[in-house]
Amino acid sequence: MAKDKPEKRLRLPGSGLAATVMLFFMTAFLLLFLRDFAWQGLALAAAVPLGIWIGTHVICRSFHVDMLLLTLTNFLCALGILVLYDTNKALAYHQAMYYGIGLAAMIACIYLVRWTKSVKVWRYLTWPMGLVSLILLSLPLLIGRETNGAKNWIYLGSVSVQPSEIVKISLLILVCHFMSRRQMLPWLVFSVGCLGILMLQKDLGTALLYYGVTLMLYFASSSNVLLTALGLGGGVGAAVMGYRMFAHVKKRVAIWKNPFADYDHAGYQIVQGLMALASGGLVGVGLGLGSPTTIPVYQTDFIFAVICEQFGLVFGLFVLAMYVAIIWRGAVIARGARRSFHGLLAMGATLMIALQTFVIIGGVIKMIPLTGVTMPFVSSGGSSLVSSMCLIGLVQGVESLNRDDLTEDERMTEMPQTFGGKRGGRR
Amino acid sequence: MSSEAYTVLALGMRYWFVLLGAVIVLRSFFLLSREHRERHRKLRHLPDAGMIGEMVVMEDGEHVRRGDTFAVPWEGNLGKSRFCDVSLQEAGITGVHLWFSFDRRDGLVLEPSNRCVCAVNGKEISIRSPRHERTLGHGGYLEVGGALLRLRLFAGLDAKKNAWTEDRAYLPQAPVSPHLPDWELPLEEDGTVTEPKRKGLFGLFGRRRGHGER
Repeated sequence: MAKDKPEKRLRLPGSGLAATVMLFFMTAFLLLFLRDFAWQGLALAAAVPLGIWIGTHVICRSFHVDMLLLTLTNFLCALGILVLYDTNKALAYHQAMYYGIGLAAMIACIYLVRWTKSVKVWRYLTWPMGLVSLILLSLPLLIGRETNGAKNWIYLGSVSVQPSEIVKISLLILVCHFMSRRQMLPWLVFSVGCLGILMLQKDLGTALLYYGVTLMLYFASSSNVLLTALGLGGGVGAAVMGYRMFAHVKKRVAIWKNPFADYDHAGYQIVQGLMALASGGLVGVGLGLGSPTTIPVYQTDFIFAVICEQFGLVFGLFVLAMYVAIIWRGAVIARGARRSFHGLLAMGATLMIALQTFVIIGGVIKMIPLTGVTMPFVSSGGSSLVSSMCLIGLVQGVESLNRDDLTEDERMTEMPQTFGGKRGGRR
Repeated sequence: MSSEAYTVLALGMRYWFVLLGAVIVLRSFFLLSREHRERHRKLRHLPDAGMIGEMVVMEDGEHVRRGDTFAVPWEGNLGKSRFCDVSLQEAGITGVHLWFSFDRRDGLVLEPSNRCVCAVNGKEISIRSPRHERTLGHGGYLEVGGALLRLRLFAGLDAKKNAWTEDRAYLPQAPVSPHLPDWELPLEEDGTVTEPKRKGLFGLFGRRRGHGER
């Protein structure tokens, strides 16, 4: 009998996309290497594409997750490292380190979703998780330091941590668990507790994220238009109250309305950001050129303005399109989930990324008042990067379960028709 | 490299990066659309994907006929509302009458809504009933309002434990046949079939019976 030919190793769909992304960063880092011939540039020109290759091919083959989502996530993370390397090398190395930690956190989240496939497990985990999250969120109030008007950081030696980024994940899991079981009180109490603590910390951007995602998840789980509208009205009322109570909110709204009125003081940041967007033009001033460091806090809040200055508005639109693709894919994954908990989890993670992206980019282009949230995957900041990767990990975990379910469906369809198979022997 | 040379190079490379960015975006959306089409094609060949079985109507009702089937997903709700996963327009059924979720080990676990009455294998259940009483196995009967339904799980999803009941007459002796109405029904001497007597839900939902007697 002829020997069976070994099975040809299938090329993953999306390999071409990953190759294009690798080519992009290899050429970008090589260009920066040519600027000052620092060996780090050459090392990153090899390391970043290699990291992308590992991050896509190896993880995809090991966990049967979505390659498109992974590739786009890796692109955005590497884009952040690239822009930071151009402006501040130390920040870039930190970001690369946190990218590695973020990849590990993403894999952990994939495992978490797969391990807790039986939703019953969460029944025992949610209450302790909620308690620990509330304590963690309160820590900045007790031992934190005020930074840029908000008290939402804690410092452990030289490392600073933003607990609200960690609690974001547990909020999502808790809210989705209780919503899927149609228990309103627990998630309502937890959400209100989180919002209250964030208001005390004056971290209004994160409070807006928590509130927005919880409300949208409630609508997704219950389809109750009346209560959702009431919730929305409550949020608007709280925003108006916040405007009247907090002086810095009034200041931010005034700056948003007319930043040029106080362009050299309060409005300086927005004005510089708008000028950076404009000076980049369609194709940018060129990587390594321009003056991105004139924008205050360019590495976190205004990194999108830096990208548009260096690469142009067209490239900025492409970055937005990539976020749209990530959100679209996340929504499709959520729709394909068999359990309501998993569907809500994927939807919640996607909504979190979508809302955060909208809030920060809207603030940079002066569409809405600026808040203190970061641009997912791109902005400098370990906590933000790791939590964004965790969100993607949750979505990928749900996708891997979806793929397993579909494979199981195919297998059962091929079962002998005498006992029915999937179609139950309909004759 | 001199700053002038670098400037020229960087200015030239702008178009390269924009081009690669365009390729990445176009490929991403192409992949999105291709995977969407492939998924649809796959699901067309798996019409029961996401479903664990079906509920079969055992008796004629006001709006349902014997033999009508309703696909049952892994998780969902049953009620009169057209947004329900199993939508039954029968007397005595509320908008969302009950929620259900499939457990591979036990079967279809039911959670009746507050003040909604239903019976599993002849025994009335509520949200406070023990889990094993609220579990419907392959071939189990469910009475909701004026409808009598029987659960048929797809092969491979049969629960290892049948739904617990003392009255084993409700359980089929052989694999459930898809052909209706002759499921395990005793034949009379003249070759006709008599349906087993069914206790109506406190006699509140009496209705016309197709054949057979109370």
